[in-house]
Amino acid sequence: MSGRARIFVLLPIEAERILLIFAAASACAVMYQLIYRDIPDHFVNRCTWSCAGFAFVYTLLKYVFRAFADERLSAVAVSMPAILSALLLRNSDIEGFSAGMMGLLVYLFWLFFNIRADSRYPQIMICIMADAVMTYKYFNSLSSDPYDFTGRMVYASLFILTAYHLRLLAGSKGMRKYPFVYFLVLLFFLMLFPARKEPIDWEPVLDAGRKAANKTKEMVWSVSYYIEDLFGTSYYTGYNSLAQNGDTVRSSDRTEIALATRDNTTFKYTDEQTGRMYKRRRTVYLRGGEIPGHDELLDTVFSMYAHGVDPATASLFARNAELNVTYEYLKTEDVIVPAGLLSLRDKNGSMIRENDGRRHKKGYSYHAAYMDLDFGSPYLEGIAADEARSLTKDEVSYKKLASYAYETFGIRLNEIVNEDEFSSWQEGNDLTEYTGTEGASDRMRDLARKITKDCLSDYEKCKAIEAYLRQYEYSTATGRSNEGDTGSAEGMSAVADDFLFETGRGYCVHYASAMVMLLRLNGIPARFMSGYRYVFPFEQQKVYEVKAASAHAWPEAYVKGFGWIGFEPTSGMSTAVDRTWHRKPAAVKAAYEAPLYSEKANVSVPVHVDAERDTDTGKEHPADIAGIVKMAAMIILSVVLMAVLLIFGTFLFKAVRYRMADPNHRLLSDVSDITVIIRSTVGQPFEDRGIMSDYDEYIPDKYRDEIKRAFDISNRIRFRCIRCIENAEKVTAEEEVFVRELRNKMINEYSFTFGLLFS
Amino acid sequence: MSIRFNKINCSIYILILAASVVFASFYGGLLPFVVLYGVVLFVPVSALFIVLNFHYISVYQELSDNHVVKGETHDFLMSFENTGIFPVHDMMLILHSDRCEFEGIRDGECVSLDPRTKLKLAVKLRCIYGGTYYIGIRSIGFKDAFGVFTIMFNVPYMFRAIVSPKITDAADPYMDIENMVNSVGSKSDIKYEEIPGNDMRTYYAGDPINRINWKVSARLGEPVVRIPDKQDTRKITLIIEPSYVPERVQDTEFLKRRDSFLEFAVSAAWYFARRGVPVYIIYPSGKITEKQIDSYESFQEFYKDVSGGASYRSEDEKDRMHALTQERRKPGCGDGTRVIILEDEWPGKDFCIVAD
Repeated sequence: MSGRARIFVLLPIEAERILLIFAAASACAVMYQLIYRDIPDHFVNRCTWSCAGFAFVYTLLKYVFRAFADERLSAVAVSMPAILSALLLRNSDIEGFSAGMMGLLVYLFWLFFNIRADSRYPQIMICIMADAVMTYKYFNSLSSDPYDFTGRMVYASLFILTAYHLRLLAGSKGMRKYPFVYFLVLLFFLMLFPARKEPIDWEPVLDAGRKAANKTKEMVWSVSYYIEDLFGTSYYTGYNSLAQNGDTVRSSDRTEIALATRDNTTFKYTDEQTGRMYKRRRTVYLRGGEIPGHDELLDTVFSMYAHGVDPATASLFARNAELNVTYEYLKTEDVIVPAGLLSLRDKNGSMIRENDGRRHKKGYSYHAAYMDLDFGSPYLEGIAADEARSLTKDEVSYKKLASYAYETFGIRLNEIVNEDEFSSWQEGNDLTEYTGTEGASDRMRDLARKITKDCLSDYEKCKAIEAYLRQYEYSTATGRSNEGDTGSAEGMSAVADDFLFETGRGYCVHYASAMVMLLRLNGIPARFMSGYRYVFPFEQQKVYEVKAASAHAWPEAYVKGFGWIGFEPTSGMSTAVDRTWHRKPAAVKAAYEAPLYSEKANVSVPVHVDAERDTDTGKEHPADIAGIVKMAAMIILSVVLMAVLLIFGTFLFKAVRYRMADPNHRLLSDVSDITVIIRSTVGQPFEDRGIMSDYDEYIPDKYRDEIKRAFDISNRIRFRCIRCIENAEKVTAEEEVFVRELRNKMINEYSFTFGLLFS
Repeated sequence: MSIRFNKINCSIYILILAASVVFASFYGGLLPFVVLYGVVLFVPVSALFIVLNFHYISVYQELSDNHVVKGETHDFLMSFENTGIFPVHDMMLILHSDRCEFEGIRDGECVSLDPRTKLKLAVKLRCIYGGTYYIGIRSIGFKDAFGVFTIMFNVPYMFRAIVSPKITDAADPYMDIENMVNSVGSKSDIKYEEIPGNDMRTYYAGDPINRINWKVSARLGEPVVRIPDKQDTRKITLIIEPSYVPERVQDTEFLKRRDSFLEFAVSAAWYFARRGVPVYIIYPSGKITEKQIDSYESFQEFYKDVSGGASYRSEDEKDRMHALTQERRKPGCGDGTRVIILEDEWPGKDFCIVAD
């Protein structure tokens, strides 16, 4: 095998050893760190690299020393520089001593097993132990796991070593080892890929999947939406199902309407307990059915007027808002409008005053302006609860109320309500259709009385019933027993009775029906409203998709002195109090100008840093660099010293042995040197049995006769004198001088003094 | 190039891959990602390693004898040289064992080579069929470290041997039936019959006594012998028409049929040659060749031609050969007795037709 081929064979073998030492040293250091928790990471890293560095140097030395001695002796020779350097650095402030000693121990351990046998089990055991330690370290200190080059190198080395030894274990006995160089290539590629601190983020993949699924779903919806008329079937939506009988429902994520608004869809409020400012999403209730008349608006404005609400107070709980509503997968004659509707305009800007009786389909859109009232505000609650009004409807004029509405709320009432409508409103509302209690059972009547027995006003009763119903369990799987239709008092009674006394659980339809009936049994006009309850997202969007799952039903009560107020008895939904804007007179301005709490969180917080651990930052301290240089210098020095010692030791040993030997052995030694010189001149190996014929063709012509004579003498001494054959002719002084001079002559001619040292 | 997967090992690999993906999906950090990358990179790095191994391996094949005869044992030398820096591990040798018998190596045997080393394998080889075909190593295969897949590469330079068919008595029954040996035989330029001719010449020592024309000798006063006349019996023509299927020349089934066909054709020629009966042979050897066999040398020439291929250089040549065969099949075409051997009809009853 050529020298280059030998290098390619030996390199992976040595690389495997050094990597195993590297991994084992890392595991030892980590174990040490796990036992003594105050050991810093940089100690582990330096120990690991020092061990690997020592192993590398020892490997080089091994090949240097093997020129003089066999493997065992070279192993002993290798340990000398290591011990020397370790002793020199024992008082160093860096970890050279520890690392050097550890590296030496690991290396000697390795050499022991490497020399002892070709058994693979010690290496496998080392690998398994290192795996166990590093795995334990990983699961016990995830946060402090080093992501630097050392950490990656340790884990990657362990991976390939484990794979390599698994391959050994899996292979049959006597099977050749798979080339380690393959695993080195794998290690190279492994080091190219950076590890992540976070687990794999599948979100982009899931998003792509969701998008694909949504596209498919939309296609299916579109097809079913457009062809349903061909088969005469009724298109099913979440909104339409609310008018059903309260049976078990299945949720759907079809987009039924799309909203667009320029308003801010979130608001900020300060938590009274913590004093922190939070961001909260707005909620809008969209009611379906006929376009509501203006009586409700006039009731609300008049109530404010009667209670003397000024613009400043009104701003605490009222704001004007607008919405663009577009129908998606929805087919209905109903118009979906936000609660508190002021006006409704079509695409051309024309006012829509009443339903046109046509069935609206996908693409139907309009613009709605509405007054958003915070019924969770204590100010508005106070107004609602105060039934005693100093004014009657007759005492206010159209102009006065219009003027008040504009000044207080910015509403141009005269553009929305005409004088005839105003006069009609003054004549009074007919609420009889909202008071029917047909079908209500006795136990329901008893319950209605029981809930509101301590309440003084209608509003309090409403709140009491709302709070009572919110104790019921929310469930879309009702398993109801009674048939019922929420379109009539009997139907609602059936649903409510079943919900209140039989199943004890339900969804919005059950809660709304129950509250409507309990309100009516308390003499408060109430109605069942259906539509959508939509909570805007935190992120501002161009279009907000209202899904079928947002379809909702809720009750509205006619509170004396105020008008219609919506409530939220469904336990799964937040009440008006939960959604309140939390505005207060003094805090209004400050709240809106104060920075967000989340912004506060972004402010950098000073982190406590232990002064003693300053070196953990990864920057090399100048003293450390000097120490490393010193250590390296010491090692090099020791290596040179050891090499010099070996060279002169060998020279000395040979010289002493030559002098102490008898003339026969001296002559044999001289002839041996002559053969070495001849071999060196040939430059290629040849069969050498120590006889003249083997050298015949390589002997230089000018020395041929002399060398022949030297060989003859040598053979005579070797085969006769040394074997003590009788009458053997011993070497003469002349022969001894002749051979020595020949040797010296050849050494001088070929400048081969140094080469004889390694012979 | 072809890839084979070991089902069990492949399933285990997929399971490990799935487990590492799950691990890295729930835990971040070095351990899960190193394991994941390692498992994922296993396949491409193995493939790269194998391709590099193949790129740097050289395979040489050498046959000791120039003349290969079916059924005889020959020395065969396989040499491998790894010129790359990566070792070659357990390179699988796939042999042409369907057409050769090997001694000293088995099909699928693995060899390993250190970087920049050579390896020589001296084996014995015996060709099973006559004809021209590839022998020795067909392809070499490399496995990944865990035996998940094996990539097979065709040997870039396959050894093509020209194997002479065996001369047997396979054709004897067909030839004997016709009893042609007694009734046929064309006139040869070099072969003389034992018929005393009319031409005379002076007697030379060694001439048979019975050839001396005593009357003329007496008249001329010196011994004169009659020159034997050239054979001039009925002509026999052997027409050999091989198949023309270039795409199937390396198929084992084709080689079997070709072997039987060649053996029959050569044996038929030998049938006449060993009896000293000159015979015309028409056969393709690239182009259509007509030859008279009336000596050992001419038979050897034919034998060598037929072993080397008995093939057509083009499809047109095949058509011409076929047309010629059809013409000679017709009775009374004036070419003596025609023995027509058709490979396409092998082994049917019409593969050997005697037309008179």
